[in-house]
Amino acid sequence: MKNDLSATICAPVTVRGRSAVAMIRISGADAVEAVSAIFDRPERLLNLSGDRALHGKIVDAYGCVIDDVIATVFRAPRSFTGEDVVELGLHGSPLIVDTVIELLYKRGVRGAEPGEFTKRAFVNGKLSLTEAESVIDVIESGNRKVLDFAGKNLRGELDAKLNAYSAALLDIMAGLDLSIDFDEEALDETDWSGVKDRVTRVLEDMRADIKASRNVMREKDGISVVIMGAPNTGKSTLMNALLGSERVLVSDKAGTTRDFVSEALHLNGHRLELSDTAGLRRETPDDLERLGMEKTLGLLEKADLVLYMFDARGASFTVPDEIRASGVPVMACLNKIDLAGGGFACPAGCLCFSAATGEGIQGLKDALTCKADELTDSGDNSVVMLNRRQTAHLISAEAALSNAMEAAKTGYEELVADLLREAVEEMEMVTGKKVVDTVLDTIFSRFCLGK
Amino acid sequence: MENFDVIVAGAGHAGIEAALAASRLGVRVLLITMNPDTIGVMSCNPAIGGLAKGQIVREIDALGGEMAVNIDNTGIQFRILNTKKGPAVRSPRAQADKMAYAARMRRVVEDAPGVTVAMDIVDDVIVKNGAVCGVKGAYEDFYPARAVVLTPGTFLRGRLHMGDRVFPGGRLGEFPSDGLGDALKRLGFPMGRLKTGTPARVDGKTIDFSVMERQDGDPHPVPFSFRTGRMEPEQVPCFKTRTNAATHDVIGSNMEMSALFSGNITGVGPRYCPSIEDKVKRFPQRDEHQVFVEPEGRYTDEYYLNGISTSLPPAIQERFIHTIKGLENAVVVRYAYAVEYDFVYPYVLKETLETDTIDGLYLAGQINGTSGYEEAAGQGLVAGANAALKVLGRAPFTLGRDEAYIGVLIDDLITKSTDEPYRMFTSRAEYRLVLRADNADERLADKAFAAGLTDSLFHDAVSRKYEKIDGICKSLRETPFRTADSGLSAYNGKKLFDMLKISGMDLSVLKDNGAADGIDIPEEYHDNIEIRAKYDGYIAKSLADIERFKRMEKMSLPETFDYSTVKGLTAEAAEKLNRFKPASVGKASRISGVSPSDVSVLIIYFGKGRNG
Repeated sequence: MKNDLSATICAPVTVRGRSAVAMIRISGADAVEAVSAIFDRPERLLNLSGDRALHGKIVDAYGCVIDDVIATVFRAPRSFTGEDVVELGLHGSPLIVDTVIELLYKRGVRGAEPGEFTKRAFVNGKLSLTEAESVIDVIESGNRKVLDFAGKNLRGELDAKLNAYSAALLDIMAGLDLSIDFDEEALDETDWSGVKDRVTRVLEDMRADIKASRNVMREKDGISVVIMGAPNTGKSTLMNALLGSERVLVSDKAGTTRDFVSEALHLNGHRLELSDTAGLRRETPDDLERLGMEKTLGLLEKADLVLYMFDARGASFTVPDEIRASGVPVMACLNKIDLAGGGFACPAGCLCFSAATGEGIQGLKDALTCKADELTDSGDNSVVMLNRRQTAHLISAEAALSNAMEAAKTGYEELVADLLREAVEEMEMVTGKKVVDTVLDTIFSRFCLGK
Repeated sequence: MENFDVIVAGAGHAGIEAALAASRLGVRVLLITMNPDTIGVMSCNPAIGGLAKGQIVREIDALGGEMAVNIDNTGIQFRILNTKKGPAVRSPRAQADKMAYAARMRRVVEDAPGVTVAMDIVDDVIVKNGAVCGVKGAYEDFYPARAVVLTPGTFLRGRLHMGDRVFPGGRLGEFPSDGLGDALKRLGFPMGRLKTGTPARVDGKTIDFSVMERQDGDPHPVPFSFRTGRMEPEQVPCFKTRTNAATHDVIGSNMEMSALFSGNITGVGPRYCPSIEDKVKRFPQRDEHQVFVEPEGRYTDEYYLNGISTSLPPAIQERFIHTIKGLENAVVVRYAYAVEYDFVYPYVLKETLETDTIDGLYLAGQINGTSGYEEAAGQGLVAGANAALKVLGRAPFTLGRDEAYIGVLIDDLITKSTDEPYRMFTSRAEYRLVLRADNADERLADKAFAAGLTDSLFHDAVSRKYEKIDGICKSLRETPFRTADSGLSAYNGKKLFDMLKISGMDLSVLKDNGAADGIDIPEEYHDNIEIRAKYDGYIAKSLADIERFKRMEKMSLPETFDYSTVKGLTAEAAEKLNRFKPASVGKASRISGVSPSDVSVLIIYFGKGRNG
């Protein structure tokens, strides 16, 4: 079978754009040769030993100098990929980077796919799969707490936890299989209540893990806060008040916001993704606005928290049923208290403020911080999953165990055993004990170009 | 000597299915046996089928094999096992009339087109330029052939142990096959030694059955073969008794006299089917073990004492047997003995059971480290079919773990090898909810027919059967339940197919209620339909798992490749991969010593459409 691991590849490893320096990484058996062919001191470069840098010029086929560069050579296996690697430090201009890359292409070097350097490092034994995945989690960790968890996972604490669940389930399975495969050995009947108890114990732990993981991932990805409410309750004004800038177009005409607008708000170490939405009302005047409302309701699916806005001058402050039914926590917000008159009293369980004057906004921020603490609480769990791939597998494992509890009612050992095995396999896909090609694709696709 | 296409050496359960499969594919077969009178002999227990094994017998039947038909014709008691468990793990088992079983099988072999039987002792394999070209016998020097299937069973350098006495032999009273064992070693095969045992047989006239628990066959025996119509055999009972403290005392105090512990036996015995002295030693806390007293046939009064195989000396055997309830005065006709024999570590085999190193040489049965008639027969069929297909220049016939227990068996052998006699269990099959006894024909009919192993008559019958079952299921999915029966009227309106998912509900109840009036549901389809309903979601999930499994199986690995050149592989993995030569990444993943990260490296290194 043909494989492409023999090709020499290159890609810029710095972000595209103008900057002081940019870097191109070239990896493969021909890396040094290919760079030497466009280098003004080819002999010196060819003979350079590993971990050494050389100053020189990149020149094209006509002898024109493209840029002044530093070429750092790493010799296999002592490099990131385990292959010969050259890293070219250039001046940070997209034009120069593109020109040098093109010159390399002409020398038979191929453009690297996203994650390809890491894949090669993996194939050459430079890092394990779990390490590869934890490395991205570390890169993506936005704050200290997440970084702590990522570090623990890198040290194998998550694996240990899941392996303990697997061991418990495999032990139950062994008992069930024994009773299936040795029907004639006069064994005792399956103790179903014992089986259920043992499965329940794992299931409860697992549910706590999923909740904690979701919370910590919220910390990492940002807490999605959706501002909703009837038209002209001042949703966009609130958004601007929280962000401290005129981010969103406001007018006193109802229905000004047709689509939703999102902005990040950093609040006491939390990152909140604020979304301002089109107002909700029963009869919509035009199609464009209806479209906006549908989008608003769609946002609910991904929302972690809803701020439901009312005009403080209104008569009733009841959050609509379809929003309550979504299960997303809702904070009832009464805006425009400055216009509500002297007799206004803030009802219990509501937050009252004026987005226009800023009165009560600090109270809202405090309440948001408090809620954010709660939404990102990892509980007693010291080990959690940090990405969607891992969490998705644990959710599948949890579902399999719930089904196993259901199947136990039939008294058919093989159905329960099958579901327990499914749960174990899902966990093994997190720990890397079970490998399927799609998992690899998922992991390496998270790397971007040049990684 | 006439030039045959395929030679099969050994006429036990593996050899017979090998010869018959090759015959069905239209090649000329020479079946060489030490003694034609022993074709199809049941060396050990007088039974076919059982847990997981029953599934294999059904598969053999779906693949055109003879075992199922033969037991249907010669069985004397039929039972479905595991009836308390779910339907996927239920298995048919039958007591055989040993003599009738072997006699009918011999006739089938003799009548098979293109099959010639010869009496000789094969003691060498003739290889030229890496390819087999025939075998050498003790009487005749050269039997030329284009492919050879070796099925020597326990005869390969067989030694029989009874206490401290050792007799050369493959079965008590018969020669061993020493020359062939030496020849295989000379040909460079990695070989080991295994041990198995058989219990004593006693005279039924001297057994007190009145104090034992009687075990009858099922009142409506279900045949093994999909081709067998209604059967109403006259059934005979088995009996159950138990060992006790006195039995264990006799065994315990004479332990050192057992060939097993005296140092005479070096071969590894089956963990799952241990001798009685092994059980007494390993489970000291158990004060009794079950003994099944099974008739050897209608032609004799001999009874087989299932559960107490031993290699203790005859005098001790008699003493402990006499401590067992009902056997106090039993007269032993044949003493128990252990047999030790050579086997080839099966990692040298391909999925076709052809050896990696010698072109056209196939191995099947106990020579590959398995135990059991059914396991042997399943391998024999695959090996014989492939030997013939090779001669015909046609594509090989292989079975995956997702298709058949036989596929699980062969895959385990070639990816895990074995150090002890390998017996099939349902728990070895990841997809056991799909690999059931009831649907073996559905699973394998198309594949068997395409390979030429079955005729269109059978294939059409299977197609019609499942078209009909599909039709019935469709009706059941559409028809709502209606009853006036107050106990069940709460379910009114629920679809019949969903009704079947209710615990304890089955088609007979629906029929009795008149709920299924207007849908013609033949009795023999009940099992299959009920399983489809009860397992509905589970089967769908298994099928999805199978798709994922297949992707890894399709990621093929080169036949010749030096894995030590891949730096990301551990040294142990590279060594194992070079030795086992797995055909796919999926197979590589099941080799012990190949870790998940090694597998990931293989996926990325060899994966299709990946960039490295």
